[in-house]
Amino acid sequence: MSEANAEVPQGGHEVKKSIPQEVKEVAAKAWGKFKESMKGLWGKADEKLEPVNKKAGEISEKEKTESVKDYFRKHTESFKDGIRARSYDIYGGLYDIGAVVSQAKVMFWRNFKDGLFATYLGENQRNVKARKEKAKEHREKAKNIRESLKKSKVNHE
Amino acid sequence: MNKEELKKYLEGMELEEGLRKVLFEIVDKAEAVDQALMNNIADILDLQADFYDKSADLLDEEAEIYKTLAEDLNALPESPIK
Repeated sequence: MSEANAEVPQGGHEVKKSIPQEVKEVAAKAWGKFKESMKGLWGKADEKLEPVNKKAGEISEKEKTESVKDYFRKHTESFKDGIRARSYDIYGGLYDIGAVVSQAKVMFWRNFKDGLFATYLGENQRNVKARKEKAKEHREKAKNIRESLKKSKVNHE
Repeated sequence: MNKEELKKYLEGMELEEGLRKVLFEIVDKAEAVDQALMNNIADILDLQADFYDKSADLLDEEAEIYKTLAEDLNALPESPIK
């Protein structure tokens, strides 16, 4: 997340003077908190998904193929990339307000953030629901495949 | 059930392409279609379920971060220029 540590943008000194310090402080504080939370989530993603990747590694070793391990590692990285991508535009916008700031930027965040977050959160909720459904489906499939051989034998008998 | 029948069975599950390939490779490498192979495939499917559940939990946490940010930004004035 190097974007979070970007240099303070240069220029805009006239505009900077016209923005009250408290406005910049609100934005800087919100930005700082958001940045730290997202870094925390980033670390937690590794921690939480590590047992899945560990188990995938064990299966790979047992099956003598890298593909199980690679498949889950790829999914983990792709998921983390998604979290990072969603946060990028917010990092940029809030950092501008806290550092240099323009009236337009502040107004943007004041007036449009609710719509933006509603879109983000709507997508997030759909994603959570879809993942929970997929988890349920895969557990059901796992159960069926464990029993399929027995069922197949019964059918042959 | 032989290997081809097992592959057809897996095809019918409409799995993600990447996962289907992984399972087919395991079927091809197996010496026989036995309970051990079925358990290995089931373990991978359960692992995929674990991944979805855990990533859903992480997305719930992500949503909380966005909600907090939205609340914090409500403190921004409607007209920032004095």
